[in-house]
Amino acid sequence: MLALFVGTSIALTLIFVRSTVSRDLRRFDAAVVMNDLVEYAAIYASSGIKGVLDVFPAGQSSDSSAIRITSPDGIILFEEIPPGIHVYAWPAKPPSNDWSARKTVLQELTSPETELRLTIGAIRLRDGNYLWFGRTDEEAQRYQHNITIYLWLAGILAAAVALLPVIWYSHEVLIPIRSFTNSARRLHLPEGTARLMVPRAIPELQTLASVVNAGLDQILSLTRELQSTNDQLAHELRTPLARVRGNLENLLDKSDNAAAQDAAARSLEEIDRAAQLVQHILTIRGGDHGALRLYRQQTPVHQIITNLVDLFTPAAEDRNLTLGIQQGLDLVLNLDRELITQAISNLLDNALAYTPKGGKINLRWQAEGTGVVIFVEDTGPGVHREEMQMIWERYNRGSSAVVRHPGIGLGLSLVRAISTAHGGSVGVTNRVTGGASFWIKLPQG
Amino acid sequence: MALSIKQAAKMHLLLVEDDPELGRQMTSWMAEAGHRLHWVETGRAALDWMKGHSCDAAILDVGLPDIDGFSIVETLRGRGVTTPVLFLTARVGVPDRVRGLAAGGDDYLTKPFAAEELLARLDALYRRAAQSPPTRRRTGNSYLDPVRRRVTCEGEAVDLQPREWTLLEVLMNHEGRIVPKQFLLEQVWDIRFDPGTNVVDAMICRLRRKLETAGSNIHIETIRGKGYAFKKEPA
Repeated sequence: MLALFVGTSIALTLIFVRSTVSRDLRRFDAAVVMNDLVEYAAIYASSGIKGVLDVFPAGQSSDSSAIRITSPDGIILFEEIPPGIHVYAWPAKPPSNDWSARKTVLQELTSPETELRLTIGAIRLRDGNYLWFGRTDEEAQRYQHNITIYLWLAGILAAAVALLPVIWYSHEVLIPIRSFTNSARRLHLPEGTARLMVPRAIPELQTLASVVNAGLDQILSLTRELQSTNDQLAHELRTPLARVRGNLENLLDKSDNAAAQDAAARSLEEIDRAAQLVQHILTIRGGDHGALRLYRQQTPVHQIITNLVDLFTPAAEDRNLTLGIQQGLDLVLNLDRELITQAISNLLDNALAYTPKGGKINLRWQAEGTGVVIFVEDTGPGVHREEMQMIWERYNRGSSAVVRHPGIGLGLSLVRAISTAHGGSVGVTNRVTGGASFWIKLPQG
Repeated sequence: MALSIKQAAKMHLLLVEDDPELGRQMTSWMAEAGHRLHWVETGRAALDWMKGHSCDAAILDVGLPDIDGFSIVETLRGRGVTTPVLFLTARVGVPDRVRGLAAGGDDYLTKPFAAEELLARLDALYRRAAQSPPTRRRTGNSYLDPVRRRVTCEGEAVDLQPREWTLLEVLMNHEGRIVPKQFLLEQVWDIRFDPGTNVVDAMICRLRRKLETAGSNIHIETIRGKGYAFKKEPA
């Protein structure tokens, strides 16, 4: 691009300079011819043809000029024409104008046999004869050729000098900024220990990088703290829940009282739900704040989906729903297999809950870039436009809402948190044919 | 019936757990299941005990006051001890589980857990360590063939999907015990979370219907709040 621009500007300059130079050289040639005519006319006047004969060969060094003396009728009295100039058709007669002494007329002759142009002029001598003098533009063309070469050299040299700051700019500024951008792309990943790297960049960029990196270090330490708080919170909660659960199991096993057994069985379910709820809230909070630790491994997406469809099919059939897969390409991505399985499972669970009897749920996936988009489509009532954003965070804003509806409503928030932790996104659209289409977009890890 | 004899085999277990309440509960459950259990509260005590004793399996809490469970297993494996180890922990993350298995553990159970879940997992560990080959077996009028993965009833093959067979096989392998839903999800579908919808119930119902339609006297009982149990005769 840059080279094209430089080349074009040199070429344009050249065309302009050439045309100017060539016009000037023509004028110069004309002046030379005029001058020589007058000079030879003076020699003729003082020494006759013999004088001209003596002076001409000495005065003209090259083959580029010719001289001729004719009578007023055009009969050649004397001529000295080198071979190169024979190719031009000289006018047979002097110009028929009203000639007065020393008046000259110039004209340019061309020949098909040569590219050179001949400028000739005639002057009427005192005895009525005519003196002709011709000169080719050989010299002028040589000059012009040389000037062209020098101009090219100068242009290229100037362009090279002008490019130096551009090269410096792209090397010292653009390339570091590009690597800046590339490393910045990896920064959003949770647990990201990637930092902006700008070796050999200009000091301003290095300062920027170190400022950003210091901020990232702080975020990472906060993230670690959040993780360890989460771990501790989970531990502090799970151990007492385990004790209570054990005691309830004993009560269920040992009691002969049907009411007590029933109470114990219900409490066991509640405990399991509470443990899972805590887990979900921690996963959601962690995922939304980049503090969810992922265990990424090469994961065949098609296999996860097939496995889940296998698992959900009997439950779907009990509800009189058809569960189908639209097979896509086999895709293997670097994902947390378990969390992604859970995310898709939650979308399926959601679809089963909202699709009326006789409906159809369809799973499909397609590659997008190096990642994948997974769709769960149903024939349910669809989602209101104003709720399309809200459903992903409902019950996730205030803890009070969570407590009032234990175990429900967190499903979609969990899906979003898992996707976010993978650097992906989620969404829902209403299908033209009715029903909703929930999707998870996951980039290659 | 080689299988049921193994099932009845009494295991000798080591429990390392610093929580007295959980320790007491597990001691009583294992005694009821017929297993013999030695309970210690610290990692150091466990390592000392293992110098002079051996056991069929060890249950290890990860968060111990002195040495964490992962390090204990690494030390034991370093000594050449191959006893199956089950981690018991409040840490639920997959990275933790992977770390535990990498340290040399064989299974991983998170708190809170069901007594049946622990028993089923210990059974599975024991079976794996004993490397018992799949055995064909007859229960009443039905014939179960783990090699060809099919059930015949009065000579007629019962038409089962591969997953349905796996489900039946897991239940059969734990005959006489209650198998919790979560254990089934993990063994049959490799899923370690609760998918919400009553997927396991639906699958069990379908399997039960197929067996009933074929006239088999294999019965899968649902035990509320606990799980499922494989029985020969309807209760």
